Amino acid sequence: MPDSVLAHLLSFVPVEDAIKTQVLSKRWQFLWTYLPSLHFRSCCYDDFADFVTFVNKTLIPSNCSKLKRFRVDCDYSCLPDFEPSVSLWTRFAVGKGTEELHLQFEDIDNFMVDECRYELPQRLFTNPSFKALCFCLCSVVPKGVVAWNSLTKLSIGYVELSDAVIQKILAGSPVLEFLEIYCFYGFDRMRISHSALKELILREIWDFESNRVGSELEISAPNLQSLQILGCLGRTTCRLLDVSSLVDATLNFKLIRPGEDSEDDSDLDPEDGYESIQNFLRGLLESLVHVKNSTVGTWAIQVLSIMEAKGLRSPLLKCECLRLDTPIFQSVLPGIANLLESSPNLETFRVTTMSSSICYEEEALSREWKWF
Amino acid sequence: MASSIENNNEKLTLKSSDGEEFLVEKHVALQSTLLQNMLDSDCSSADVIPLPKIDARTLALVLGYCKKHADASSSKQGELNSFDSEFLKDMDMGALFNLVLAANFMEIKGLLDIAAQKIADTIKDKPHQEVREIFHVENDYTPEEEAAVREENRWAFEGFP
Repeated sequence: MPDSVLAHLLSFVPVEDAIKTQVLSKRWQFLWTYLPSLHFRSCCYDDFADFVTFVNKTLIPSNCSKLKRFRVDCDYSCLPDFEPSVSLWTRFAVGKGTEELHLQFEDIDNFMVDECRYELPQRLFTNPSFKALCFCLCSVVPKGVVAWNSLTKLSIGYVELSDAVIQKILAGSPVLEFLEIYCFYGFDRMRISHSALKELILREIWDFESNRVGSELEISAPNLQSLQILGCLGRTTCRLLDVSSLVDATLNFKLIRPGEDSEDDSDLDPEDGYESIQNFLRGLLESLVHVKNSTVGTWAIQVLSIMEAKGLRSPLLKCECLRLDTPIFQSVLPGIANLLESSPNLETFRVTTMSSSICYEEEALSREWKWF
Repeated sequence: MASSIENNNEKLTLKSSDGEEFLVEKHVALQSTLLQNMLDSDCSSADVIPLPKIDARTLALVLGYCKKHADASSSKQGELNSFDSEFLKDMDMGALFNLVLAANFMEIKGLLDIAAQKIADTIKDKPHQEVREIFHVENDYTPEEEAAVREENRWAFEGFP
């Protein structure tokens, strides 16, 4: 077997084990230095300093001329002390022409705090080798332009993003096809008119106490083919301005109804809250009438149940394949009926309970539902 | 007559190292970057394409994989995943090595990766002597040399047997 194939094969073994194959024979002594893909995980180390040493010692002898993938999964709480090392790692990744870079940090206690994110070095924003990037718990603030000319896949999470940063990223990634943003806040406009972007996933918007009135996220993406909105969006609603090419849509999210989770808003009429979420959902469905394949989750179905009780119909949908991602209980049944009656072109209908993000407050809404 | 020429254009013939010929539909052959590049350049699909490093048994497996992946629509990823794991399930190491070499030569990335993953899963956590046997590696270190390698890279061996 040629060395290049053996090195490729070794890159599927945990890097700690791959390095130890140097004792197999003289031929294998330096094979590990040609690993085309490196994945480091801090979870197997008791002492974080040992992890950092291990990564450093693995990178120094690397002979690989072009890295396919460089991935670090580690706990960020200890990382600030080792930030110079992490910056060396990213410098290494850029120097090796890495195609896929994953910086997956996590910090269970402080993920909301801005200082607890790794600030991406500016050189990363203009590296033309990147084809896929995943950043978790990194602060993404390009000071100059973004030039990700080969980038097709981008996933960013636990992050604050401004409208300006989003626009810089989209403008600087001309061939981007897949974009996922999760656990985020800070921007309310996405215009993706020029882009090759086909698939967009938005999962979980962080909401702050200050966002009492609720903000609105505007999305305009005339070339987009697939859109998924998932998780809890807090009080942030979405408005789809132009999604005319959309074929697949998934609405598996929940919204906090104005006045739902705070005690001092008790003077607010709950009816006003329902009114606003009904209008929001209706508006969203109206912009998705042309979509062929739809998936709808529990929360949206329950809102449709409330609408059904009031005699309000969902807009007429052209949907051919409808999937409901929900357990079946009383408060979803009228909503399902509402959807089915509004989908005259339906060919396939499925009910699944696969998603983990489904059962938001099943009880709470069920209780409220009985009130109607 | 015209229709038979058309048919010929959509199929091509691959010849294994042991002389067996396989008639393959073009869209199936396109799963291989090597064949794709050959078809894109001057190579006529009427020619027999020799694959001198791949025996008939391995080639049949490779083409089975290519056909499944060429025919499945992109929406059936789950079905393809279960096909992939079933495909390699009871395969012995020799067959897996042949498959890796064939996939590497024919540049079929998906197949190369699943076969490499399967081999990697097998050698993971195995003692070095067993890994040597799997790869037919003879330990040509003297005991002193092996000790020196371990000593020099102690950081990589600490905490491990």
